[in-house]
Amino acid sequence: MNIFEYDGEEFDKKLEEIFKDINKDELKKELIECGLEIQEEVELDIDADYYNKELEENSYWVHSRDSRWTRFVSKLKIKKKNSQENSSEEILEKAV
Amino acid sequence: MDNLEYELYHGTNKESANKIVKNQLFIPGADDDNEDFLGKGVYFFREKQHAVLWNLKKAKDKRRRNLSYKKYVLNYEIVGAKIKLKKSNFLDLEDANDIAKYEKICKRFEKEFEEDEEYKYAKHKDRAILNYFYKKGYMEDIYAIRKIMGQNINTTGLNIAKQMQREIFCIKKPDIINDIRIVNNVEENTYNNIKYISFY
Repeated sequence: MNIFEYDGEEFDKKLEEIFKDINKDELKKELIECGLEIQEEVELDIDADYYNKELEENSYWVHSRDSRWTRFVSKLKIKKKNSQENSSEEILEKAV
Repeated sequence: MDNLEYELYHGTNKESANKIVKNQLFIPGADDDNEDFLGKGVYFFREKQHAVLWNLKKAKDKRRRNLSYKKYVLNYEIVGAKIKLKKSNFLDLEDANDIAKYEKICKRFEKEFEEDEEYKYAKHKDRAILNYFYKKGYMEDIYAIRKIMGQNINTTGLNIAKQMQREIFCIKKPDIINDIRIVNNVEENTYNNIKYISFY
């Protein structure tokens, strides 16, 4: 069968026939087998309290010439919480 | 005008190119150069320059940036081929009639999954729908699909063209591919210009 051979109402009818009594779960499973990629939810595994505390303890405010307060993080003082590859420095820099 | 004939180009590494020409055969999915937005098939460009751009992208993926022309011609080839088919076996996604039908199919899938958040945000719907329709035999007489797709290019000074429009063919039935041969690579000046406007 070539559904593209049909035109107008005949095409619509053929298309509906394809979906008639279709099992949605099975269809989705087959689409995934055919290359559909479901997005996985991104969960951030960050201990917010810990990093907030680190940020408070290792940063200082500077009043700049344009009369704005800017927060700087002292990188050297920040310790890694554990042996994870992502250092607290990187995360704090992003947080600031 | 029932019969269609196109001269097309496929960019790939030297080893794959030699194998394809020696066997006079493209195997869909066997070559890792196959991109797959139109589903499983053998991908070609209408323009030789776009096959070079594709090869440069593959080189970048292998961390080979800024390849000299000498290294490029040592490692990459362009395979030329002819395809012949009837218009009824061709899905042209630049033709309003075919686009409208394909749009109806996509919308029907959206309707089926209208309350499904996972489907809504899923990636690669086109290839999944096309592969599914082939698997079920709903498009078994379609031997090739054509689509023009934009490729971002590195042209910050140009206001009128941030993309190169590439005419892409996905061949679903390898039997229609004939006259498979290695064609002359582009000349050094053209290669350097392609590299200059690309991100690779």
